[in-house]
Amino acid sequence: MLSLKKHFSFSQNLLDDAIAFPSGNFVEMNDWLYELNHVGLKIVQTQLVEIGGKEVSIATYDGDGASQELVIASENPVDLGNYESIMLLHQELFVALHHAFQQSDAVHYLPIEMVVAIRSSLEVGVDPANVSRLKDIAVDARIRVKRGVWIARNHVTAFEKAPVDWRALGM
Amino acid sequence: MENKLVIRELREIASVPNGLDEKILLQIQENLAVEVMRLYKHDFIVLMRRQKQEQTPTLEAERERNEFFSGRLQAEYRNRTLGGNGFSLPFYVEVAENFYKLEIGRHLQTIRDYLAQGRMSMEVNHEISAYKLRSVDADMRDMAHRVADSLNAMNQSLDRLSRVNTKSAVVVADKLRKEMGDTVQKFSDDGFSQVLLAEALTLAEAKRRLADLEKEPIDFAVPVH
Repeated sequence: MLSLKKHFSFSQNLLDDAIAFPSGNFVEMNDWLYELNHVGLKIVQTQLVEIGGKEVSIATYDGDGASQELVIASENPVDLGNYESIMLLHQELFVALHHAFQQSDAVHYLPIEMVVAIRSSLEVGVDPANVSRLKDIAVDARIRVKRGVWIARNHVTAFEKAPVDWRALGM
Repeated sequence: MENKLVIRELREIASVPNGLDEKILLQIQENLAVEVMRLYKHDFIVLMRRQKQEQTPTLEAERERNEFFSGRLQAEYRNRTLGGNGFSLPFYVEVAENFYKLEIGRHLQTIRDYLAQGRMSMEVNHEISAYKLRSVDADMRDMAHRVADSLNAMNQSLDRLSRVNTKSAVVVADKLRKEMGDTVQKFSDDGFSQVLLAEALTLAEAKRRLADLEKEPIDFAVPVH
């Protein structure tokens, strides 16, 4: 397991509130900056690390300068499982969304985009045979992931301009 | 709109040539920003509520919020740099080490996830061969390239970690390089992963060499005999 240094990087209060999930698992949690900017539910992929003798999870994003954040109990994180278990559990939806991503503008997709799309499909209870609805969900998942990464790279602006004009940012 | 440095000390250090990586300076800021947001969440919400009640004009509201957040971010940065004065090299080194360790872990996880996805596609389409599946599925066709990119990104992170100028960073980088090799080997526990990883490793090497060649200046000098 990775061991991280904590001398400057982590507040003890937040470390006390931090919790651990198996490495690689996706976690859904509350984030008021997401709410302010109408991004919807926050889903992140986590890594299990050790900081100052405590096992905790850190959320990381695919983008330069994006924050690496502790997963804390007060944001009500819910374990969604790892990519393989999510695909296995929702195999029919995975296959349908896999085609939906390919038929939308995306030739390929990131695992997190698929997880967000599966989670959204379950939330609205879409039929895996409803191709056009799944295509919309796939496109929406890509947008939501992009917006999440933008927030993780621009916290001050995301608060200052909330709600951010996503169209003006090309998202 | 790209992210920019708002912490004064970090902005100043980024404005002069010194070999420090601006990416790490931004990382210090955004990691700190998340903590500030969480530590002062109540104060942020009170400010938002007041602005809503008073119907503060947009520009004025944005200015207030920026001052509020930047002020707390600046104060938190100073608290953590112990002396509270100027730029902290130990803080920079710690964030750089943590950042690259997590980046390596993230890229390894990405490879693991792509392999799982490939295996799942094979399982779902068990009636057709892997070769045929690749010819009809753009995502499968592209997968070796994406795994190769993750392998290269991981190597790049290891190189950068070695360059963080401390003995411990070099030791950590060497240890991680070994662990990374062992972990990638462990991924090849089935026929599909073995073939995909072998192809990705060859592709990764080719991409690295191509990138190196592109970096090398072309020598137009005429040889003198």
